This record gives sequence, structure tokens and C-alpha cells, in this order.
Amino acid sequence: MSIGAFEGEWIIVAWAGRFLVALAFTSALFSALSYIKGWKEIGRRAFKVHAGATFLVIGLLFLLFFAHRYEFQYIWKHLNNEMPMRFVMSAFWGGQEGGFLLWMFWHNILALFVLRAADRWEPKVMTVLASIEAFLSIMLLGIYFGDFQLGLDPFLLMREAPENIGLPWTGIKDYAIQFFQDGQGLNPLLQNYWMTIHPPTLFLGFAATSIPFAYAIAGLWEGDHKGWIKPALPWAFFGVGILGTGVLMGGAWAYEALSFGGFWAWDPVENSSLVPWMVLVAAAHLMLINKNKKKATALFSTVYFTLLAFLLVLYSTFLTKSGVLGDTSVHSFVDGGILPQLLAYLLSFLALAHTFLLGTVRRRLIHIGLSILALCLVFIGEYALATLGFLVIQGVTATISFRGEFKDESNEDDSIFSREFWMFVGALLVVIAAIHITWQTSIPVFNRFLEPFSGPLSSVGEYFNSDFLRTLSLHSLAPGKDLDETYHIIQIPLATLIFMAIAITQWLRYKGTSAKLVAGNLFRAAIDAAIITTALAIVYDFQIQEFPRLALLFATAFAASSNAHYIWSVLRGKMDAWGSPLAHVGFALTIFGAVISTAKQDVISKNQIGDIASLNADFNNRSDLLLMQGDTLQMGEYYVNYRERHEEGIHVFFSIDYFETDVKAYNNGDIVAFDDMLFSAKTNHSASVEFAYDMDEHWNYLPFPTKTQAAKAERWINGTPGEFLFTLDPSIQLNERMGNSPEPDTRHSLTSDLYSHIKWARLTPPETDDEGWLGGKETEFMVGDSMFIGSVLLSLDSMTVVRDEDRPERGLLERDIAIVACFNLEGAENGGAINTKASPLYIVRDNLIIPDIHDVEGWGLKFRIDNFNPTDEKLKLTIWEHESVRTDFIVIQAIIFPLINILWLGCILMAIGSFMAVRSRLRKNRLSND
Amino acid sequence: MKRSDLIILITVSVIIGLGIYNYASMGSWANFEEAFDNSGETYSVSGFLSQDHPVVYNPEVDPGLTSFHMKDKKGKVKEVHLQLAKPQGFEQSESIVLTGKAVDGVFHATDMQMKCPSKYNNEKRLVLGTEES
Repeated sequence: MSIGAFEGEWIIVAWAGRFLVALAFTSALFSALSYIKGWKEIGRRAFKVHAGATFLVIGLLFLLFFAHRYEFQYIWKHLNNEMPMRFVMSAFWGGQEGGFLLWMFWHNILALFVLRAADRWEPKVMTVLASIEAFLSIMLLGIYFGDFQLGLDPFLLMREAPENIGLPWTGIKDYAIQFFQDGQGLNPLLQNYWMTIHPPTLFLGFAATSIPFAYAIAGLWEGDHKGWIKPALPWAFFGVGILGTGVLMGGAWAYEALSFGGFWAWDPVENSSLVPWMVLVAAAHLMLINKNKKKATALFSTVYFTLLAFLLVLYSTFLTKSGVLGDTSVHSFVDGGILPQLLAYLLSFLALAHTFLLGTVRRRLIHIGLSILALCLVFIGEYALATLGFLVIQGVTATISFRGEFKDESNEDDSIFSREFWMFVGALLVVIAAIHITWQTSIPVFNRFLEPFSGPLSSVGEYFNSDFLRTLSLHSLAPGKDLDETYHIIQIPLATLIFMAIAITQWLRYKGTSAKLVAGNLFRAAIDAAIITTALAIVYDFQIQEFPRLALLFATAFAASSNAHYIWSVLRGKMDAWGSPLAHVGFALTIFGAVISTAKQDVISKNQIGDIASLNADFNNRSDLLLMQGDTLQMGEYYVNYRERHEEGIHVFFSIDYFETDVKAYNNGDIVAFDDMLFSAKTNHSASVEFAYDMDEHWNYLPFPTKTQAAKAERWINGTPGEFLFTLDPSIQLNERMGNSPEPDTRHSLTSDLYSHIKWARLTPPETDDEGWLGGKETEFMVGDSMFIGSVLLSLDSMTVVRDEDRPERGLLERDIAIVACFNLEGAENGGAINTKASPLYIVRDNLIIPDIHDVEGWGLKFRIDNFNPTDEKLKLTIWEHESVRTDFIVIQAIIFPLINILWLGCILMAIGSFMAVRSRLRKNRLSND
Repeated sequence: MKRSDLIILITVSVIIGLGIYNYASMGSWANFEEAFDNSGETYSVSGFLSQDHPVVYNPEVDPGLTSFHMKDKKGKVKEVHLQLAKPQGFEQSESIVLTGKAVDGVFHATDMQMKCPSKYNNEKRLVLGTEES
């Protein structure tokens, strides 16, 4: 496929790809414009062309991946020959270009469904959807205006990359064949099935938020503030289901494959996909209230939250891809100065949404004018001021709209005992929680906003002597590191209130309810919840200061129980209506599981080695355990033994056996293997700590074991009198370029998980000389000092001058100054302690120190005394270890997460419930339309 | 007062209250000079691992202590004691953020975030078949 100057380069694909991207952009733009003019048929055709072009672009890119065309920069960056092709999907959306294409893929598919529905809203809804597509297409254009690049070209060739232009190899005719036979490859951390399923789910969720958004805009545009709700409702709940699933998948991924020891870290990337979901949930519930009402409840909020959900998706894109987060997130990458474009994208749709909030053409034009003025500031580089001014304009507009266009459209008389009132309260609480999370996550953005005002703030701060203003003027606020202080302390009470609302509201009827009926059912559910909570409090020993979490546990149990009661007593048999309460049960269980498993997590690997290098009393972060190979240590309710390591491909696995601490009982005839020898029990007995104690009395040696005997034999390991339970194999994935990453291994059981991961392990063999001696370690000793070399305890007992009688046999001359240092070595072998003495010499002859290397036979240690200072009586020693005696060791952390399976059960129920609800909603809509 | 106005008033007050509370819990960035001037206060300091000093991690002695030197953004190099096991890929990190206090000439960090070599690393140059980063 080579044409022109270069051989082995698929230039045709590059041309075709770029043409298709341009076609996608123009057809989307054309479709939007046609729909504005009301030319439905043309608009439809244009959109279908756009969808086709997008799918072809994706197809071409996949073609390049499968054909390993490394002359293309995108392929080179995310693929290499070593990578198994089942991860090609992960590689496809490994970069920004692929991410946008994935988003566009889903967006097109959803839009095609909207086209199929072909309702009266189509022209306006499609205008919005086509505009969104046009903006997304711009992100793939990769056109240069001077120095400024618009979008990122997915078909960029390596030789065209700005950093490579002008390099000598770009002129070589067959450069592609010579230099690009392999690529850089995808970060190994991303080469797993999670990376294949999580991004598509998440992006489908993001795409889904744009449909209700488009309907809301259409409604505002048309002047009909309510009619758009009914057709948009199934889409909203579809979004809730899919996006929620996507967010939870992220948590499951973190738990299963990452080693930060949990499933949620309140990291900006996590938060920015959670927040749109929360706002969508609020919007969807408000839409649900208002779909058929003559006089709506909280109509402005309904419209506004619906718009906000999609805008927050754009904000999320901005936060995570523009690099604005800087040092606050390990996920923040800066790629090709994309910040201004993402900002323009976000601000444009912000403006669009707020324009339509206004009712008259005049007001809209004024708004557009002001917004464009503010946008211009973006182009001259004043991003912070522009955005700030822009936001002020939008805020004012929203307020005007609320007071003006939406005046008197909402019901003021909703009864306190009505479903709509409490759903509104619940939705509001969810949005407040979302605002708090956004606030906390956006601290780096606030720093950018404060920057232009740094001068004035500083002066005013000095004048009023205000610390507050002075801190602001430094525009360097950092998010607090303690999650309890920054997130939990606010989210937990809010969540408690929300779940109380979930519990109560399911029983309330629209317009009002009989208090007696509701109270009875709720009381029953509350009792159930109280019993569960009290049981938990006792079993898991909750302290008084943990009251907020206990309250949340009660609230979630209450919500789950209440909704379960509802299904059982009211909806029995009417499976169609189970969706909503089931989803709420699921949501409640999810949070219940999350709280109990993290609040009562138990780090059983607390360090037991003494404080040899203790620092401050403040610092007591001993959560890791050092395990030497073959050693057995107690960890929580287990004895653990690090047995061996083995390598498989790019992974190094560390096998750790877990034993019970209760003494094992052996019966006559049991067969065990100890130190590769087989023994048969001759009595019934309980095991001692060491095999040697039991061997004579209780065991018969089997010199010629049969195959069956060998197969039946259990291992007998010193220090583990208890029964063998299981083996965990946490691993480290080796990657030279990106850094090694540890992967956990978890033991799942019904009531808890035991999660273990490697904190440190030696991955490169230590450097030795020709004879296998490791480089010398220099230390200082005084009489009485002791120190560990590997597992040997070395102590200096005494130092004496060599007696004259002994000099000749040690090869010493009379004029030599000679001191002998008496060391004691203590080690362990086969469960017993062994001792030996070593006596290296320190010889000074004619003012020269004669080196005397003393090899301790059989111990794999040798020393040399380098210097002796008689004034402070310190000895300087160099010690070498032989690799044969150096034992392998690892540092691990193990955590028990109680009741974590409730979390996953909740996720499953929530997903099932949401989809049942969507399906029944679609069915209802179809029936009422016919 | 109309009910909706009351709801708005309560909501806005709650949000402002949250904002104020959150402000109080914020940490602040500092460089080494500021951190050592205000010894004992907790700061977040960002910088780079100093390649001129060894990274010391002796798990036999203490598996939860890694010592190294970091150069902050102003160029000041200080010794750091991090109370964690040596993280994987530490020597290859592009930048690090420490959280902790300066005590007696050493920065005692309780937490560290590392930025690993970016997948979007545009600094790789290809010179006639040999790769240099």
C-alpha cells in the first residue's frame, strides 16, 4: 500500500481516514443546520452519512491496529508486538483520540434510535445531537492554524509528529520498514478485561446523558416546558442504569486489580463520573414526578438538572483531559495543549443551555452576545477571567429564567405527605452532595480562578490583616489529604438523609397519603433495620464517635427493608412494577456494603518488627509485614508462610500459604510430608510447634512411599501447627518502561474478603562478585552492639589485644598492633537456634593497616575490620553476604473487608432493577402512545 | 414566604456552609523552604526524586520506611523519610507529591503520590533506529 515517496507506509489509509473525519464533521454540521431549518429528510440523511463516516473511521483505525501499522503514531503509542490481541480494544481507547471515537460511536447509535422513534421532537432534538457530534468531530481534525492545533489527528504518521519533523530518519524512503516494526505498547496496567469493558460502559453512560439534555433544550426551544419529559424519561433512566453500572465497574476494577487497598479513592477521575450520575438521578426522578402532571413540581429544577447532567459530563472531560488538575491527580495528563478546545466545548454548550432558558428572542440574543464576549477572552489566553465572567453571566441568566420564564409554573401546594414533595427533597439532597464533591474536586480550578486576583487579594489582605485573604491570594489551595475530613464527614450525613427519604417515599402516594397506612409499614421496616444495625454495632464493636457511619448503616438498612417490604406486600405478582423498588434495594445495599466493609476493615499485616529505626511518636504507619522465605508469622487469625516465587510471562507470583492458628489434630494413619520426606502418624495426637518434637513419638518414617501415599500427604511446616487453609498469590507485573505494578490476590468468602498485595519485593537479582559475594556493607560496632545481617544476629562480645603467646600462630610480628574482636553469630536452622563465634583481627604493622578478611565458614558471611578508634572504642566493619545464604523476602499488606459481598450484591440488584424499570417505562409509553 | 423561596434559602445556606467547612479542611501547597520555616505544620510539597542521592529501603530493618532526597520546584534538595514501603516504579517517577511535616531538617512524609511516565510521553525521540527517552 505504498504510494509516493515512502515504502511500506500505508499512506492511503491516512488520507482516507482524514477525509472521513472531515466528512463526519461537515455532515454533522450540515445535519444540524438542516434540522434547524426544519428540513427533516435532509437532516436525517446527513446524520446517517455522519454516522457512517464515524463508523468507517473506527473501522480503519481497528484495521491499522490489527495490521500492526506502527508508522501511525496512535498505533505506535498503544500497541506492541508482545501484546495479546484480545487487548486490542483496550489499546483502541487507550488514548484521547480513541476515547472520543468511542464516545461518538455510542452517541451515534443512540441518536439512530432517536431517529427511529421519529416523534414530533425530532428536528430540535437532532439539532442538538448533531451539534454535539460536530463538536466531537472537531476534536479529531488535527488541523494546524499556525502553532495552534485544533483537535488530535488519529491518523497522524510518526514522521509527521511535531517532535519528529526534521529528524534525519523522516527522509529515509523505507523508514517504516526499518524503524517501525514494533511499538511502545499499552501500559500493562491497562492490559486486562476491565479496560475492555469499563470504558465502553462509562462512555455509553456519558452519551446517554445527552439525550435528555437534547430533549430539554428542544422543550425550551419550543416553549413547551413539560412536553419533552415523557419521551425523555426512558432515556434518563437508561442513563442512570448504564452510567451507574459503569461507575461501579470502575470500583470493582480498582478492588480486583489495583493495590491501593479499596474500591473508591475519591480521585478526581472517579468523582467526575460519579457527579453526572448523581445529578442525572435527581433529574430523572424529577422528570418522573412531572411526566403527566398538569401543574408540575419544581419544574425549573427538573429542566435545570437535566441540562446540568450533560454539562457535568463535559466538565468531567475537561477536568480529566486538559491537565488542569496538575499535581492533584495521578490521572492527569496533558496532551497537546487540548485545554482551550475542551474549555471552549464546555463553555459553548453551557451558553447554549442557558440561552434557551430564556424565553424571548431578544433576551436570547443579549445572552449570546455577552457570552461570546466572555468567550473572546478565552482566545486571548485569559482562561480564568473568561470562565469566571462567563459563569457569572450564566448564573444571572439562570436566576432571571427561574424568576421570569418559569414563574408560577410550579405547584406550591404539594402536600408534605406527598410522593412528589419527598422525591423533590431527595433529589435536592443528591444534588447538594454532588455539588460538594464537585467543589472538593475542583480546588485546582479555583486556584486558577484566584490567580488573576492575586494582587488585589494580597493588598486587601494586608490592609485588613486577614489570613483568609492572604491564603487566597497565594492561589495554592491543596485538597486535604484526610478523606474522612474532606469527603466522608459531609457525604455520610447527606447520604443518611437521602436514604431515609428513599425508605419513606416509596410508600407515599402522589398528592398525599394516609399517614396511618404509611406509618405501619415504615415502622415494620424500621424495626428490621434497627435490629440489623444493633447487631452490627455489637459484633463489630462500633465506638461512640463512629455514630455517623452507624446512622448511615441504619438508613441504608431501613431503605432496603422498606423497599423490600413494598415489593413483597404491595407488588407481589406485579413484576412489571418491581424495577424501581428493586433498584432502590440494590442502591441501599451497595452503600451499606461499602460503609461496613471500609469502616471495619482490618489491616491484619501490622508490622511486628521492633522499632529499630523509630522516628517520631506521631508516625505510626506500620501496616506492612516482612515475610522471609520459609518463615511463618502470625497475621490476624492466620499463620502465613511465604513459600516461593515463580514467574509467568510478565508476572512474578508470590505464593503465600495461610494456616489456621488452632492446633491441628492428627489421627493414626495420616500421612504428611516434612522437608521432602514422608511420614505416617502412629498415634492420634495434636501437633506441636515443631516437627522435631513430635517425630520420634508420633511419626513413622516412610522410606519407600507409594504413589497414593505421596498424593495424600499434607505438608507439615514448622511454626504452623494449624491446618492448611488456602494459598494466595499476589503478584507484580513487570514493566520496565512504565514501572512495575503490584496486583492483589483476594480470598473471597461469604462473610468477608481477605485482600493481600505485595508492598515490596526484590525483582532484580542482587549484584554479586564472581564468587557470589554481595557488595560489602559498612557498619560501626561497639562492644555490646548487635545487628541483623539477613536473618543472622551479629553481636560484638568483646575486644582484646592479642596476647604475645598467640602472636606467632596468627602470623603476627612482635611490633604489630593487633586486636581481636570476638563476635557472636546467632541464626536459625530447622527451627532451632545455632551459634558460632567469629574472631577477625585488626592488625596495624608499621603504621599500615593489614587487611584481614575473616570468612565465617558455613554461614555465608565474611568480615573485615577497617578501623578501630581507641578513643570512642568504635569498630568500623565491612560485611559481605554470600548469595547462597541470603533469603528471599517480601513485604506484604493484608486487609480483611467484612461483608463486602453485600456491596456487589447491591450493584447487581441495582442494575437489574434499573433495567426492569426502563423496560416497563418503555412499555407504558408505547401503550399510551397507541 | 413562599415555600419554594424557603427551600432555595435553605439550600443555598447549606451549600455555603459546606463551602466554608471545606475551606477549613484544605491543606496548602508549599515548597521546602516554607515547610521548613514552619516546622511541624503539614504541607503538600511537589517535586522530583533527586537522582544524586541513593534511595534507601531496608525492609529487614523497617519495611515501612523509605529514605531519599527530593528536589522541590524551587530547586531545594532535602532528605525525606517516607513512612511507606518503597513504591513500585519509584525511581522512574516523573514527579512526586509528598504530604507531611518538616521536622529537624528532614521532611517526614506520611503519604506520597507519584506521577508515572505518561502514556502520552511526547518526549520520546527516534534517532536512526535507536530509542532515546
